[in-house]
Amino acid sequence: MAAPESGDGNNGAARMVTLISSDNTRFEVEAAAASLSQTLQLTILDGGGGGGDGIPLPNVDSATLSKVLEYCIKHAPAAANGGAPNATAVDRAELERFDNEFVNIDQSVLYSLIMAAHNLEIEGLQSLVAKKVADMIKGKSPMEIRRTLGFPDPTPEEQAEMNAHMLEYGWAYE
Amino acid sequence: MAILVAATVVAVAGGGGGTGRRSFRLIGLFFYYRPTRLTASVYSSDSGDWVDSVATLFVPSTISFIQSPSTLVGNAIYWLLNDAKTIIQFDLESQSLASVEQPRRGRGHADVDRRRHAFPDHSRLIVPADNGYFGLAILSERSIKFWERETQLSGAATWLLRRTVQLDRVLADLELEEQTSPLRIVGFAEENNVIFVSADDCIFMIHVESMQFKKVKIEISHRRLNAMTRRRRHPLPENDDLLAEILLCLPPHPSSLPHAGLVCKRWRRLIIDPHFVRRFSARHQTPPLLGFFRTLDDEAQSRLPASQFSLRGWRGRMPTLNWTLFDCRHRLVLYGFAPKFRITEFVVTNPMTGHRRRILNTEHDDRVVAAAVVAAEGEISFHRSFRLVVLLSPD
Repeated sequence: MAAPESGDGNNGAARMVTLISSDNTRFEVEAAAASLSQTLQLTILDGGGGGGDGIPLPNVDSATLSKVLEYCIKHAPAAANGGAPNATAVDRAELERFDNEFVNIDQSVLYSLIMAAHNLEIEGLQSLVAKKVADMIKGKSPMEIRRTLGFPDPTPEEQAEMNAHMLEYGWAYE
Repeated sequence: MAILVAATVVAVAGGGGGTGRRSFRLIGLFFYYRPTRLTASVYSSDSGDWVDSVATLFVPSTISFIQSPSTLVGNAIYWLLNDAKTIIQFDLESQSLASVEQPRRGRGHADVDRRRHAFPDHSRLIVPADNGYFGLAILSERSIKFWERETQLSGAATWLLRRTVQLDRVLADLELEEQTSPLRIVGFAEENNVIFVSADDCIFMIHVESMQFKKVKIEISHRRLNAMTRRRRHPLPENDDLLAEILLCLPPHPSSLPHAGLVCKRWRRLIIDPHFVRRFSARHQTPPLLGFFRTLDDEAQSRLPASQFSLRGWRGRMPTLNWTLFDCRHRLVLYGFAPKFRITEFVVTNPMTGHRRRILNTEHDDRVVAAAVVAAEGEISFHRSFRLVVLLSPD
């Protein structure tokens, strides 16, 4: 797998941990990157994930996990600086550019990603995807929201209920 | 018989008894003949009663209807009378009424007495001043003068001209220098401290503190459904925590939560949950700038589609023609329903959540001449306490 480009600290042997996806793919990453996950951080602090052991993640498939780790590796240096108060504007702009591109992906991947971020407790990633989904539905009518998010077409009962609530609210709705 | 000349709504801090419902007050101003005078009446959402204030303000002439929306500065509500001479002040704490004379126009001013009395004055606006008191913004030709009320050591209060803003540069920057019709102040967003000025068919806004200017795009078009979105998609995971995270990111526009609430039962349950509503309010502490309105001579103008403020479907299906938009403040909008020129009921609504409260105007067999709404500081909630101020005037 791709090594992180940002080798700034160069403290020789950064501690590595191994994560195992639900489909048994092994990912080796720096402990600092994996620690963006609150869930993993505790295990890693306890000395887990080192050597040949690896930390099994039964809820996350390899496609999703590689995406999650891409985010973690990119954000780890800034997170290590404690929210990076001394980060330059260039660094922040670069992260923002990365984030924007990062969520420019297929909806199914987006949903797996937010679920994984939620389970692994990676706050930044969760907000990033939440914001993206919110942007997809903002300004849309209830029906458009349903279609955008892949809800099945409403049953006649659901439709009747929507109409009743719509009347109650009085909002325009096509 | 008295005539309601103005009404306003105010939220009350700590009201609602911890139920998450915020109490509010509705304040009405009433006008009486012989002698010509104004009184105020306050409706409290907690008690559900109207209470007449003891304050009486004698006025020199008949007040028929106050067209300008009220402005809340500090703890007082201000109305600008159409005579371009008087400001009416109602102090919410002491419940006292007072009138304040506007700055006199200097000699040689071309705009003296333009016979615009029958219409809202499009050149004047009450704004908060730097010193915490109220001030007055006066637009003439291509400049805006900002006046401040200052109390001297002797106790006498005078008007001081604080600043004159020339608009020529601004109009040039906004590529509006070619405009031919006179500039008009068309609205004021109190909480954002933004003045809206119209020039021909274009509107620009002025942020009072920073003196920044921006053109306003008025949107009236409806977003069309993109055929792409019809494709069946992978469904969103059914997790309420995640759903909350997503919906918290929605912009606090009037349509956001009501639309989300119509998507399905699970979503509806979430958006009416008081805990979620509190989080949403906390996330969006600064109310969004939705637009502005003028009473009577202009229609409500908004940066959002007008249909989002539609009164269609309200209980009883009252004809829209009989509704008057009185005031908006603190995320609350105040309407009056007036079949046959008499306000029979007020409706205070929160456009962001769709919550509404009806207040029957049975106490006062009067004609409303003005009304305003006010919410208290500190507490953030979508269910607001408010006060309504109503001004009355006889037939």
